[in-house]
Amino acid sequence: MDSEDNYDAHEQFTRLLLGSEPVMMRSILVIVPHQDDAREIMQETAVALWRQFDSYDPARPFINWAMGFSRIHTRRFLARQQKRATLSSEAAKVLEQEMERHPERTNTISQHLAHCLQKLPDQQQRLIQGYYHDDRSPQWLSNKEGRTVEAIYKSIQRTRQDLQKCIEKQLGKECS
Amino acid sequence: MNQQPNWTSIIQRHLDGLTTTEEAQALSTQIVTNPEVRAHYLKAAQLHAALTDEFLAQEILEEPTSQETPAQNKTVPFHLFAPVGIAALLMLGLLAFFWPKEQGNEGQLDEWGSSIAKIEFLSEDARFEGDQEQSTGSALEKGWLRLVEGSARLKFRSGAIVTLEAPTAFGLDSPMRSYLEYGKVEVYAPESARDFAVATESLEIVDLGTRFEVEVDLDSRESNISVLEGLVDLHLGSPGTAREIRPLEAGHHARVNAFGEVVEFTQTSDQEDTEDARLIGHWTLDSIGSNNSVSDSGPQQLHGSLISNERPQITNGVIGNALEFSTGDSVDLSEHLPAMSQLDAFTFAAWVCDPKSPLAMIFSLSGPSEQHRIQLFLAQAYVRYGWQNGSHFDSISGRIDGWKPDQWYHVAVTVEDGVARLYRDGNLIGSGSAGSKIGTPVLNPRLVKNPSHFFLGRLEDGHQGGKVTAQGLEGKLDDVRIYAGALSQSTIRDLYQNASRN
Repeated sequence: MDSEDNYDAHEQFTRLLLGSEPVMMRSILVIVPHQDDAREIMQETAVALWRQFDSYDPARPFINWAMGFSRIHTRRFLARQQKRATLSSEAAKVLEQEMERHPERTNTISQHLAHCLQKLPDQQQRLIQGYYHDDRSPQWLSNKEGRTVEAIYKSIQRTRQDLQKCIEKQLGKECS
Repeated sequence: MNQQPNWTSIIQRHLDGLTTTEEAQALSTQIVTNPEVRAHYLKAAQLHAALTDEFLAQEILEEPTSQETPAQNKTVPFHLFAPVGIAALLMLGLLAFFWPKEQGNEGQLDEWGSSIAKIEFLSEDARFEGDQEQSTGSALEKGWLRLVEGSARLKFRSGAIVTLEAPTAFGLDSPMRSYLEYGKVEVYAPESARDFAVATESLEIVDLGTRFEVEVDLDSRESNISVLEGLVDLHLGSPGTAREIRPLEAGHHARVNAFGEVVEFTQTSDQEDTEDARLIGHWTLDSIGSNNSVSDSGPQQLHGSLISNERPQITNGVIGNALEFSTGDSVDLSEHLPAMSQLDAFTFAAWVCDPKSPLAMIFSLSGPSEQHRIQLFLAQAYVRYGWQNGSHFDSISGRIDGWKPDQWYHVAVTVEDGVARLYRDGNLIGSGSAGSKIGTPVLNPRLVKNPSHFFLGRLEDGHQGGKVTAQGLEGKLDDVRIYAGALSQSTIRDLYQNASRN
């Protein structure tokens, strides 16, 4: 493969990876909720995909090919982290199967999330913004809000449940 | 009275990294067995993923700030380092998407936090360049280290241990991946760090359970790799250029130039022959018995039975006679499955001549369907060991320069400790612990579910992937041997070089 071919392959790979990365990342995050861990798995997956890119059949959807790799690297990660509080490989497998059966659910959550986030009271919005966007620790948020760390966690968890209810309500409207 | 755990609370706490190991185990069991908890977890986790990803997407568009993490020393970020070659460019391209967080999540109860490795000074004079104020115990995030004096050791989160000798420029990419721009490192990768990789400008060295040294010359960018224990795979060429994979075993050394070409390949010490492999079966294929029986001269007398439309021809072989297989011919050894299917390490060796393309099936062990199987087969430019454990087929290949007409070749595969090695004429031509198609772990006979067929020259239910293919053998086969345990390369070479005496 000469350098021009390689450049083309690299460009094609980057384009395909960019298109698939959000779906893969979300799927990994379901099994491994911690962001840094999920990023680590995603990165190892991306490196493996590039190593094997010449065996990719362009006639097939890239995402299907790539998801196979991300599942394997998620399992390997779980196997390496047995002493930590992670899900088992069996649980990962059934969750992946469930996600495969309903691939549209990821998109529908995203579609309604922005709307539901806007409907949150200011304080809850601030917490979610700080926790997810600014990656602030509950310790940091507790100092800022003048509340205990436990209260911050509880509040984040309740906010997620509120968002979930809101999204389900939106989905209900869609069906009716 | 037993009180039911509050799964909603446990699920929410798990998403924040607050569950104990026991709670995570209990939650896993519920996810597998209880559809209600599974659905509940999935909804909550998908929302958490959407929230993370929603904000992650915004974050990627923003420039990383220079804010320091108070709790941790930081390495020099990758983007401040001059890119060297396509390998580095690829890494940089990927890193643009997975930039490390400026502040770790203190909610995670893990001594490592978001760090990748910890440092230990091995000499008093050890010193890093510029403002990289490191000391023993410092936690390192993604980035570069330039050791200008002395020696230091990095313990990666994966368990890999890398010893640096000055002057060295070394990049930490993830707990399983690193980059050596120049200098010398020694890598020890235990089982937890299998597949740990060190990339240089011209190749990537992927560990398969081993200890190895790499030295990259500052000026020529030539890489020198010496394997001290175990086995590594050399992925030659900057990623995307050559893609040739060459195994390198203990006692061997390779010199690779800046273009990813092997310019020297030497054996630095005698390979230790530690095998305790024992012969399971030896089918000389010199003759066919009266009831189409094929004799095993090995200790267990595992005689096979010939399946053939017409009586196959006996022809001259490497040792005595050989059997010439036509379409539909095979030797059925299925009644001896117990002898084979209990092996977790084995060697299969045979002589072949004129194997016809596209595929020549040398041996297979399979379940009632093609979904569970192992097989050795030959293609025009490859010797392949393949397996399937579910819906996807995978394989490890050894590249060869074809099959000359009327020439006998010795082929062998060994599987041991999760690593398959392929040989032709005594040379190691391929190896690995995971398949090259989708990366599934190597399967051994013991792992084949419900084995029911065992053949020479045939795969029962000849499907490969979704495509139905003729899975037989057209060609000549001679002196087939199966051992419990993996023979060393020197013994396999001996089978090749001294065929008549063995």
